[in-house]
Amino acid sequence: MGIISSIKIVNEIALNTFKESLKSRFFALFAIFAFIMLYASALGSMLSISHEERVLADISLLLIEIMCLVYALFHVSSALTREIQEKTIYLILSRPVPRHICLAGKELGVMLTTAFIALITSIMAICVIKTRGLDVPSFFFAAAAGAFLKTAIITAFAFLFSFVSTSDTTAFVMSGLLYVLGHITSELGPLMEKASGAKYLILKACSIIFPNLNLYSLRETAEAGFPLSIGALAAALIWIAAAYAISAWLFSKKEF
Amino acid sequence: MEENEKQNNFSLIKNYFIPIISMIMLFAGNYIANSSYVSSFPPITELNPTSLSAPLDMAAIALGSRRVFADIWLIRILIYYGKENIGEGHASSADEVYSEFYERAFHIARLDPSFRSANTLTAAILAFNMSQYEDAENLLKYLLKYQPKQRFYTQTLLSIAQKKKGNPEAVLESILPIIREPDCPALIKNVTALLYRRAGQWQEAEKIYIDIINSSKEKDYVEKAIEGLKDIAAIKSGYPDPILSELQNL
Repeated sequence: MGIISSIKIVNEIALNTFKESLKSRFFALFAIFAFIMLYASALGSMLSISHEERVLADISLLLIEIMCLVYALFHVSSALTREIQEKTIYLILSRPVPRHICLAGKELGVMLTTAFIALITSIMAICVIKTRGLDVPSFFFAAAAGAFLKTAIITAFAFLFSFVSTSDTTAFVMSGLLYVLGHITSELGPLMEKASGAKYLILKACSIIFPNLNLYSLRETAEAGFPLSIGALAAALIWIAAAYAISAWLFSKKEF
Repeated sequence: MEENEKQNNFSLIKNYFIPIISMIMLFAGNYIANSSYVSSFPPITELNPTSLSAPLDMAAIALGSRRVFADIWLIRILIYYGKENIGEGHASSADEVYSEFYERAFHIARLDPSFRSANTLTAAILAFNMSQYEDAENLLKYLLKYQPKQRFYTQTLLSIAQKKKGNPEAVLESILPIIREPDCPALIKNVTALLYRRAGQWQEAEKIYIDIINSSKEKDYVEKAIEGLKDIAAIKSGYPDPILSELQNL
């Protein structure tokens, strides 16, 4: 199969996955829930009096990230594992489509949906900020893009976990844990300085194994003058590619 | 026999080539990422959580959201300060009434030293409202460790030092560079207006009161600014300043 035809198939599967997710009732419910959450955050930020602009933007950006993450993780389970369980995956695999191409299409489809969620929730957040008569901070879009990048990394690993775990829930929990550990990784340095022996080795291993997600927390650092570095972007692409390669390898070994 | 073993080994390597290479890529990604990473926040070991703050601090670290949790702590400290300010406390000194204020203010600083408006506000409350100069200075010195070029902190620290010396002119001079900033706390603007009144520079005081009325969302300070403008209008008509004794204590 040539590269161009492979890209075409990946695009088709990705677009199909994207369209299916938009058609689902869950998407509409999720959008309504996201709007309610963002609007509720405006009430909370009013308590901060003269710091409302910052507080509202901060809470909105955190909500955008969590919404993207939760939707992506729910979507990963329905994108592939559920198709395997319900045997609908045969519709694709019975055609001359290699498994790694099918997986690439599915991953891209989920990432496309996540980007769309990030866009929609960002627009909602901007509407809420504007309704309160406040200015949207200059780093808002960079921070939303950072949230998407973080979610894309977790999505790639969520696919990997869905192949090694026995249920959707386990894969969901494992991905959630990776999200948490990814934030803790960068905090391990000072703890390592104080640790010794086995404790030190465990901390060191954690800092090597888990991706450092704080690199993409632009909502935390962009205002203070720490933009996304090229190294961080390269690392994100490497992580996504590596997680995809292992997932594709596991998928190729899977027997139906 | 040996050839068979070699072939087995080769097929084993061939089978596991992709995961091995992928794992190497993961580690390489981590190496690249960590070599370019510099945290702008104090290390986790400085967070010093209390039983009250521990669950929130854990969430702040786990979600990578120190900023949001600094915001939450700011709301909490404003509620705490407001509640006590209304008059629930009957303690004999500010130390007793706001016993937790310093620790709470320090917690915001530890979570986000770049939150200059909140950190300057809490330091100014400690120094100018509660006369806890040492605490305010400690707080600002800690903040300057992480934000050494932050003018809000250097100027506030300087003004506190001058206030301790009892030199109101120097206090005024040290605050001036920050009062034109949009996120300068209304408390500091109000202190500046009072210092101008003390120095007899009514026009400058008026400008600051108008700025407070136009830009501040803090009702208390807007009301104080309106009162201030009325006072200045009366002074211009020949009446003495009604808060003259208060101004002498600045």
